[in-house]
Amino acid sequence: MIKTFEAEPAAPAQPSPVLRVLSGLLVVLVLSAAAWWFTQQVYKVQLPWGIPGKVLEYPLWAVLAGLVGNLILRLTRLRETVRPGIRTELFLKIGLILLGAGINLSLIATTAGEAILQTLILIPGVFFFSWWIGGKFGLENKLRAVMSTALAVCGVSAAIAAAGSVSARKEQVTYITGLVILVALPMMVIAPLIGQAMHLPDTVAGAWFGGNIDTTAAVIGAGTIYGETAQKIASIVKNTQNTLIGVVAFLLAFFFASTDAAGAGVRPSARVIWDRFPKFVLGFILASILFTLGWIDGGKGSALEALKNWAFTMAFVCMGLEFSTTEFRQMGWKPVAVFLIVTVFNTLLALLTAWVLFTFVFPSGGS
Amino acid sequence: MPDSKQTAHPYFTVNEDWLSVFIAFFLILLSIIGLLGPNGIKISF
Repeated sequence: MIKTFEAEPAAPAQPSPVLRVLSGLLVVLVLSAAAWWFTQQVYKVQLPWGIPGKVLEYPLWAVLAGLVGNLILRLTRLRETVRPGIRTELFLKIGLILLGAGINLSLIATTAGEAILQTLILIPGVFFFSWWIGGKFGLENKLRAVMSTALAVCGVSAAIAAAGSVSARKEQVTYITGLVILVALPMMVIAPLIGQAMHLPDTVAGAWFGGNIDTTAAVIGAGTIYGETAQKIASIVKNTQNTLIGVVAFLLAFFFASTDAAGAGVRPSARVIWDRFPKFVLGFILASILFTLGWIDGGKGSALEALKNWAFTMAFVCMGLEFSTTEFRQMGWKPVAVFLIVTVFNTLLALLTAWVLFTFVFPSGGS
Repeated sequence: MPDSKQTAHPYFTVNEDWLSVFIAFFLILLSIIGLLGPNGIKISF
């Protein structure tokens, strides 16, 4: 266990919230610039066995920059001060909308069917497997619900939406969120390597990353490492899953409201679904429509594409900055075991569905 | 537990989901009017 990544004691008196947000944003910007500079240097070199340096894309260096920043901030006891400016989800969503600004809807038109079908297989398959095996390990129902949703739908956002629906304890959300990020980081690097070793086509690999890796950031990262087409397919598959957060949250809220003796006071309604619907998905779709109509230029080499990469770099830096080992030691080994077992199941099921759907059922997908 | 991620941050009361939409489309608007891009501020990665 790395002592330096444990939670530090409460910080002394803090400056004003605005100053803390600005200082946090400055830290993220500086680390992102460092990650960008390092990425440019790596792109110029040739790795052993003739592998081009460009394989090691910017998400990896951004996370590492974030981890270095995390270490420095903990040693200087400034991490809590700058925390309000560390906004992973915000940068991620901005980047995703800008990613939409470079996606032609003709691509979505040829892929959406596969993405929807894959999602309809994966979400219930992974959710109910996770729910069942969580029960075998004796996990609490609310923890099972949060974990199953995070694994089946889309990681951090889904875990938080599910937690709201079932009135889970904050510690349960933190624990699952930490697990999601910790497992997604190596998956972001390992999955593209496995895909390359298996010579998976870009469409199959992208669909696999989108259906398997839990956080949207890591999905984009894996897709980016694999190639442009893989990144777009992974993003489409992931966004298809993201759109179902509201549905899953609704069903969970309905189930727990119906069965929980305490009632929890949650009554599912159209308003609840709308409140939990990820609004950035609407921005993603609108930006894609504008690009398809030729009203904006978010394609390769454009300023919007560069801004998208900067937004994602900042999101990955924030992931590194938020990393902590302490949460993982407080809830025992059983949730970790269940999470890893379901991750393996999810990986195999997503690979199988992506391979079947994009090779045999819809062979032209993503073309 | 707050209702959603959008209202969870203790320092930002603004809806983070809508904020991301606003910032992204503000950047898109700057690119449409030419302030960002080849004839304006050049941004690369």
